[in-house]
Amino acid sequence: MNDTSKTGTPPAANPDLKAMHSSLVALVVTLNASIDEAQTSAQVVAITDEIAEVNARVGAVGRQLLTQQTAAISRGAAAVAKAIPEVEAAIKKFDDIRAFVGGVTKFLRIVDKVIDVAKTVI
Amino acid sequence: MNDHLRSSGRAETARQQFRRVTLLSAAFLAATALAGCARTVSSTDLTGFGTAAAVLQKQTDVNFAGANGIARAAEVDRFVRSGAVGLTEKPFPPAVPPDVAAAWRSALGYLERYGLLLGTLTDSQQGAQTTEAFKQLGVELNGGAVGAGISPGVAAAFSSLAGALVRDSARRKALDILRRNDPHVRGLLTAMAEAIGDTDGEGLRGTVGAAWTASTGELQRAYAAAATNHDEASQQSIVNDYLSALNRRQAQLNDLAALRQSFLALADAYSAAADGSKRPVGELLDVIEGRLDEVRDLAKEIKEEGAR
Repeated sequence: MNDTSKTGTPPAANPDLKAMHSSLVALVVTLNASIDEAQTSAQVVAITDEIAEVNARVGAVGRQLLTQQTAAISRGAAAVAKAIPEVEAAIKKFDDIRAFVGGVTKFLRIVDKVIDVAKTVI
Repeated sequence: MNDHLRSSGRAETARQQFRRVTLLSAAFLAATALAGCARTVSSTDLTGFGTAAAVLQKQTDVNFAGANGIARAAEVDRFVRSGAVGLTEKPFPPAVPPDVAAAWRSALGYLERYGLLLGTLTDSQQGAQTTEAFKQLGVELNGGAVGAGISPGVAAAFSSLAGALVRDSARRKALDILRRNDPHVRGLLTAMAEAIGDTDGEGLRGTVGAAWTASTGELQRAYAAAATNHDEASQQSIVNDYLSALNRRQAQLNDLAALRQSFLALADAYSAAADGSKRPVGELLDVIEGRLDEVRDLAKEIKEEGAR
């Protein structure tokens, strides 16, 4: 499943490392395809050994790439984490408005009770 | 007595005026503090964004586990043939280092919380609860020992106005936060998509594809030996195993491609929300959840195949 739609953001990893990873992956594909041309079992063994060696490098470079790309992801995550308290504060602000209005209502109820009591005393 | 009554009447009028001023001031305070019109921002979409991030977190975990499984399996043959006698986990590194997986989980966790909180901020209940609070204040002002004499229609209008202002202000605030963070959220999600890989020859997709090829080496060697010996029964059995492995490889690569698409779709949904335009996240969420089931099924299938 190939698709080439672009993400629209600058690369998060070293382009040379990314290119090297892709080249190694392509080399695995090429080596695998060359098994078609093998004439002997020994040749197949030799090619699969080569594939295993190249694949080990694919994994190593792939892990480095992921680590670099994850640094960019972590920077974005830190910005999102920073925004969370702002959203919480905004929610609290509106809660506070309602609490204030509720407080005034309660205060007025108490005042009314005091007035009622004052009336009976007077 | 009359003086006393007159005095009380003046006091009552003053209280009534005070109460009117209280309600008007409260409404004015809300109006001046919260004035302005917000562009459309959907609470459901923002909550959906948070939920989608949570589902993607699970989908990512399952995909990473699958990638690690095949990457390690690909090293088994190489390790056994190396002649090494000491068995540790070092020769079997995962495709995704644990700290990378943890950072992704954390990032998607932040996105989930962020989306759900924005959903709460823009919830229509923000306005409804405020309307109710002002309504109660109006009831108290009109009732009790001294009524403010505010007509029910006016009180209801003020209550509704206060609720609408709070709702609009909350949405405007959410839109502001959405816009300011659009580059970060978009950058984060597109970096994840890029790390997964644009094609099967790049990124994690490339690593997984190569690992599958390497892991079939054992079958290719076994086939070569069987073909050399003209052992057709073995040849057929090996070919079937090989084709089965190719199918699982393609299914896993398709899952990774779908994961990449989900990251990009979520980034687009976020940007649309930040732009104030409506884009239903519900459909996207359905698709992402459907993919999660598919990925889980495939992971189970690969695990079962590996156990045979």
